[in-house]
Amino acid sequence: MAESPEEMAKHKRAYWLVFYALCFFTVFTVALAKFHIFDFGAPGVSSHDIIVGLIVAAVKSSLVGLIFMHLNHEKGLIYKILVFTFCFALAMMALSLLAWWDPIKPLLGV
Amino acid sequence: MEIPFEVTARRDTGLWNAKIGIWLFLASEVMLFGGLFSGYVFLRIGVIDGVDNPWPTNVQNALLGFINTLVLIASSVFVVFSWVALKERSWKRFQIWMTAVIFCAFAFLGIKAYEYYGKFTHYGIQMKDGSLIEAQIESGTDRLRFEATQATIDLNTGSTVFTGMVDGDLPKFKVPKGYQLPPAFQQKAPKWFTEGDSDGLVDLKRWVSQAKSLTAAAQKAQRSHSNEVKHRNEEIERKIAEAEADGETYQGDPVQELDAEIMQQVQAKVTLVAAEPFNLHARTRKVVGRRSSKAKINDVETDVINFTDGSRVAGRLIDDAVYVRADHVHEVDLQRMILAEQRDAMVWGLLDDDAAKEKFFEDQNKRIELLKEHYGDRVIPQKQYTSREVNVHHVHLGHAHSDHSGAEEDHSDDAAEAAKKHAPETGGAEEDHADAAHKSEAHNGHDEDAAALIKIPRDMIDRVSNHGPQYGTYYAIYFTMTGLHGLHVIGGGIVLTYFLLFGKKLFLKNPEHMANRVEVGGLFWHFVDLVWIFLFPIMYLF
Repeated sequence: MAESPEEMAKHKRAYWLVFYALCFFTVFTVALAKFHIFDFGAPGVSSHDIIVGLIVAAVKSSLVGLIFMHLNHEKGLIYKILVFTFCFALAMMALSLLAWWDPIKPLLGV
Repeated sequence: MEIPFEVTARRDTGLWNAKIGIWLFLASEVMLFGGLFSGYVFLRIGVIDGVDNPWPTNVQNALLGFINTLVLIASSVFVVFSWVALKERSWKRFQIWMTAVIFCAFAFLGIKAYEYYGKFTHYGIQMKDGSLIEAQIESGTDRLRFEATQATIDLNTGSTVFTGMVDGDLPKFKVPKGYQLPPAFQQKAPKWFTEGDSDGLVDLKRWVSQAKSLTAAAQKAQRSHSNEVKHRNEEIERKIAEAEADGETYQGDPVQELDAEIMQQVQAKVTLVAAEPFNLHARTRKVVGRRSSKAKINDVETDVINFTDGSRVAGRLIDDAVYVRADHVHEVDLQRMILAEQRDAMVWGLLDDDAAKEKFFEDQNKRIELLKEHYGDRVIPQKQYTSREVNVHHVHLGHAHSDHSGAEEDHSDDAAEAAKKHAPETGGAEEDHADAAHKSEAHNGHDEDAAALIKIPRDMIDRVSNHGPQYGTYYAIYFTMTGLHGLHVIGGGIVLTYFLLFGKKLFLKNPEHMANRVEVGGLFWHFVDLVWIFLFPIMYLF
């Protein structure tokens, strides 16, 4: 991590910029869901809006991870841990795809 | 003891120990929340007709969620600056930034608590035709108000779920006449069990607990005796067969009969009569069929409530209607009805407010016009017609009700009269009536609220529930995920508060070590923020 006062000042600026960006993206996400002019698909919440909203959330979380959590200049071991975690998390999310093949059905009786 | 690598990096990992520790912990946290998110996605895309359909979208107060998101983002940047302050060796600035973080944590939890409170005080009342009113109901009217005189218990379970729903103390009960254990066990029963306490009465729970254990002992002995006889007979049969095979005749005991005294049938259900009638508010979730029913007891038709645990109370149903004040009705939800039938929905008959009804369909038409504009010549998908945006609208009652209650000038008299007429019977006692009327009089000076008490008969209701976890899968997941997240906020808040209050000593001794501690706490705090960044759109917006 930067130690010199100049570099520290530079980082402080970056933190505030990230804060503004996060606020902006939050407002954008709300507008996406609540205002018709920001509708990407059909009026109201559509799958297009959800995809855009989740991409925005991913961008926001990346900013938090990279800048606030200093992942933009971390040691290799931490990246290894995270890549490993990311692969498992992704596989776990993929499990939800099973719902396409085996949807939840009401009991139809015997 | 000196813990190594608190400040300096280990050569093999390139990191100080706590850093690698927190990242491993956060990796496990990713898997924990990842599993929950995965479960949420699975349930949501797996929804089909009948089960959790329509999926509740856009049902949260987005403004509160939005404010909470900003609060967490702000706290995240504040925690970074508190770390920067330590790096710059300024304890004072650290204190300021960290105090701001703690303040944000409290603000977040306060808003969350307010939201949770709203969930438990707002009810969805679904009618038999699928139409639904979102409202705050009059306290306790979602339950069945009942005056019980006797209770029937299943001794196999000994469960008495209704005792937790009794108003005040449960009275004592008379010792049930005719309750007989097999003679071999009768003598094991204590004296109070068969004759009652000094007043000849018994405590219900104590008596049932004793009866349950005696019943269980009798049943166990019966099984054991029956098995013993069975084995003895099998042995005899085996010996007879062996003897026949050898061309001999077996001279053994005759086949044993089961001992009638032991094998006498054990009574599984017992009815106890209360020394005095007692009132209860039965939770419909614990009631079979969610309503009271009629049964013939001693040839007299009596109201009974059958509970899901097998217990039953008999007596008199006081009232089972749900009451809602007109100004406590928030929304009408017709998502479960087709458009053509919505004007005849049961809710409109109950609300009895033409202005509100017309406003609802005006809002609906606006929405449909918007859809027509968007789709043009294309066919509007069916899911749009069943969407929340088309079928759920705020209703503001009151205007039509003043007409309903009479002329404006003598409105207060009508209000008191109407309240007396409609006041929910909570205990059957006269004072409750008087209290309700008194309450309505207190309102008279203000507006129409006392008059506008809407009575919803139970036979019109399919389901009434607050928006707690039991309201549906979505609400269960909402409480699980936001609750777990909230626990993380509490945990993180405690750690950061500890740094703020007790960190100065370490800061003076080894400021870099203190900075590292705050960095680790901060990493956890950012992770909590990161989870919320996904929770907010998923739970509140989409």
